[in-house]
Amino acid sequence: MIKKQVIELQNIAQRYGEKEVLSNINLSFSTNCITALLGKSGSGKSTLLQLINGMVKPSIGKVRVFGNDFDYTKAAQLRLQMGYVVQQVGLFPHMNLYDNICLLGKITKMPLESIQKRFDFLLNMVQLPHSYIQKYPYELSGGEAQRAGLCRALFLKPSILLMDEPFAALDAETKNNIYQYFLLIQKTEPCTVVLVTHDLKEAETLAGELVWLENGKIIQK
Amino acid sequence: MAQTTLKVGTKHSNESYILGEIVAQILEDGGFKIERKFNLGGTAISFEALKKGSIDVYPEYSGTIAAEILKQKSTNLDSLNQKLKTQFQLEISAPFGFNNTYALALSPDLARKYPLKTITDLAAHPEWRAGLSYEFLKREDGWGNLSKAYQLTLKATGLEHGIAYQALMNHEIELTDAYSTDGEIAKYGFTLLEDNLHFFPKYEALALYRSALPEKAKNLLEKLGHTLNDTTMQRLNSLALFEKQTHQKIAQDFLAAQKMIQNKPVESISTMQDILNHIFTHLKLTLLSLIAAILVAVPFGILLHRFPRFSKPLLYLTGILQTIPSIALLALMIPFLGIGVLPAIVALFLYALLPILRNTVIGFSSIDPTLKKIATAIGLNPLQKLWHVELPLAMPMILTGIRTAAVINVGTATLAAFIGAGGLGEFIVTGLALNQTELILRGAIPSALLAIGIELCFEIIDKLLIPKHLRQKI
Repeated sequence: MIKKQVIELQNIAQRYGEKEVLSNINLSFSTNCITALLGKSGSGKSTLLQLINGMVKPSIGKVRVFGNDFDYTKAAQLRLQMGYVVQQVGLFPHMNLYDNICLLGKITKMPLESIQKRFDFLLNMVQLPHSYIQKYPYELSGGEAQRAGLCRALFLKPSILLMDEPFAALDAETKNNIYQYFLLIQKTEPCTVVLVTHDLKEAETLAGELVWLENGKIIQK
Repeated sequence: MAQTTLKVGTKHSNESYILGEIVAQILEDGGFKIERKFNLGGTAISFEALKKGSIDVYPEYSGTIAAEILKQKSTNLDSLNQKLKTQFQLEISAPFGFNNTYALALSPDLARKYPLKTITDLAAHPEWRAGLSYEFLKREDGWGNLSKAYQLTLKATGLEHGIAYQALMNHEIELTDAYSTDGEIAKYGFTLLEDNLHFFPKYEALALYRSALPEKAKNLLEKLGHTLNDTTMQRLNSLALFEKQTHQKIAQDFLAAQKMIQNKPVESISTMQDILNHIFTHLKLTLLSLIAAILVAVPFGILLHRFPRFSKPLLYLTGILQTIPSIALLALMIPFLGIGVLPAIVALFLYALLPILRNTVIGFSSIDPTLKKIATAIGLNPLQKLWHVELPLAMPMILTGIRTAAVINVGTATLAAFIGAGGLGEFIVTGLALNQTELILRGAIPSALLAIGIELCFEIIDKLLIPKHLRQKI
C-alpha cells in the first residue's frame, strides 16, 4: 500500500538575490513519524521548514501538503493544521498562560467547554501545574515556557508539527525532561513532525528518520 | 409668531461686554430671542463671524472699520456704511455717542517726573519700554505706523491689555496703549498724551450688523444712537472694573435709566452652577475632539506603519499643525465653520491628532518582529494578528499618546472661548479683560483639576487594559 504523503517538496530551489540557499530538494516526510533535519547553521534547514508552512515561497519547485499544492491564498487556514514551535518560544507577553495556549481555540471559535478540556489535557500532559494559569510568560522558566509553547502548537491537534531548534536554549537536564513529555505526546496523539536541530544526540533520541543538509543540499537520508 | 433669534457678539474687552449687553437687552426687550457670543478674540474673529452669519450684530468702532476692515483713512460714517453695504452686505447703526480713541498712557509718577504733553515729546525717551496690546501692535492705525509718523524709536513688546495698567503702575513698563474711555484712567490718574499729529482716526462706537437683520431690530439699534458720551462710558466701564457689577446689570440699569427698557430683576445663577456649566462645556469640547482624534488617528497610524515611506512625511505634516498657534488655528477655521463649538472641536481634534498618530506608529513599529512572525506562522490571519497580538502590544504606547492629547486638549480648550465656544476659558478671558484674578482662577483652577482628573482616569484605563509588566513607566 502506498501511504499518502502529508508533506512533499518537489524540485525545490530557493534563492535570496544571488544567494542560493536551497537547491534540488526532493523530500517527503513519512506520516506520523518524527524526521530530524540536521545541519550546521546556514545549511538552509530553517528555510526548508518555513517552506512547509508557506512562510517562505519557493523560487523554483513545488510544495504539496495534505495531497494538494500549497494554496498561498489560504495560508492561514493551512497553518492552523501545522503546529509551530521555535527556539525563542514566542509566547505573547500580554497574554497569561491560559490565553497563550488557548488562543487558536478561541480564534477557531471552539466552544469554551472544549477549550477548557483541551487546555487541562495538555497542561497535564506536560506537567505544568494548574496554579500557573494566570502567570505571564516572563514569570516562567525556560523549560516551562517551552512546554507551554508545545501546548499552544498542539492545541488544535494538528496533523503536522514543525519545530525549529525548539530545545536549543535549554540546559541538559531540562532537555532530557522535556524529551520525555514530547515523546509521550507523540505516542498519544501521533503527527508528522519535522524537527530542525543541529544536535545529533537530540535527533537520535527523538527522530525516526534523519536528513542531513549541507550548503542547501541534501547529502544523506 | 415664533421669536426670531439674533446672535449678538462682542470682542473680549470690558467695554465690548457692556455695549454687547446693551445691544442684546434692547433687542430682547423688543421681542427678539438673543444668543450671546461674547469673548470673541479680536476684530478679525468678530468680523469673520459676522460675515459668515455666525453672529448678526456686534459693537464696533468707526476707526477700526475704516483701518482694519475697509483699509481706508476716512472715518466718515456715511461712506463707511455705503462700502460695508456693497462689499459685505453689512450696515452700521447711528454712533452711540462717544469716541473711544486709542491713546498712549503714562503712569502718574512718571508724568510728574517728566512733563510730557504730546506723543511728539516721547521721542526724547528712546530708552522707555512700551507694553502694547497685541491688536495695537498689528493694526494699521497701531504702533507700526504711529512710531513712523512720530519717529519714535523706543522698544515695544506685546502685553494683554487687561494687565498692562498693572504693569504700568508697577513700573515694569513706561508706556501702554489705552482706550480713552477705559475705566482705569480716572481711577489711577494716568496721563494721556495728546495725539498732536492727529494720527488716530475717530473711534465712534456703533453697532455693526448684517443687512439682513429685521427692520424692527435695526430700528431698535438706531434708538441707541447718541445715548452715551465719553464720561458716561468711563463710568460704566469702571462700574464693572471696580464695583464688580455684572455687565448684565450695568447695561440694564443704563437702559432703564434712559427709559429704553422696563427694569426687571436680573436673573442670575449661582456661581457654583455657573462653574459646573462651564466645566460641562469644557469637557464636551475636550472629549468629543479626543474621541474623534482617536477614531481617526489610531486606524490611520496602523495603516501608516505598514507604509513607512509615507509615515515620515505625514508625521511631519501633523507636526506642522501642532506648531500653528492655537488662536491662529481657531481664527483660520471661521471662514469655513463659523464660530462656536464646531470649529473649536475641529481645531482641538487637529491638535490631538499628532500625539496619537505618532504613538500609534511608534507602538506598532516597536513590536518584536519575532512575535509578529510567530503570530502568522501559527495561523492567525492579518486581522486576527492585528486584534490579538499587535494592537494589545502597541496599546501602552497608544494610550500614552491619547493621554498626552487629552491633557493638551484640556489646556487648549480654554482658548476656544475666543471663538465663542464657551468652556472654562470664558472665565479666564473675561478675567484677563477685567484684570480680575478671582475670575481668572475660576477658570484656571477647574481646568487644572480637569487635567489631573484626566490623568487619573488614564491610570485606571491603563490598569484595566494593560498587564502590569507591560505598562509604560512614567
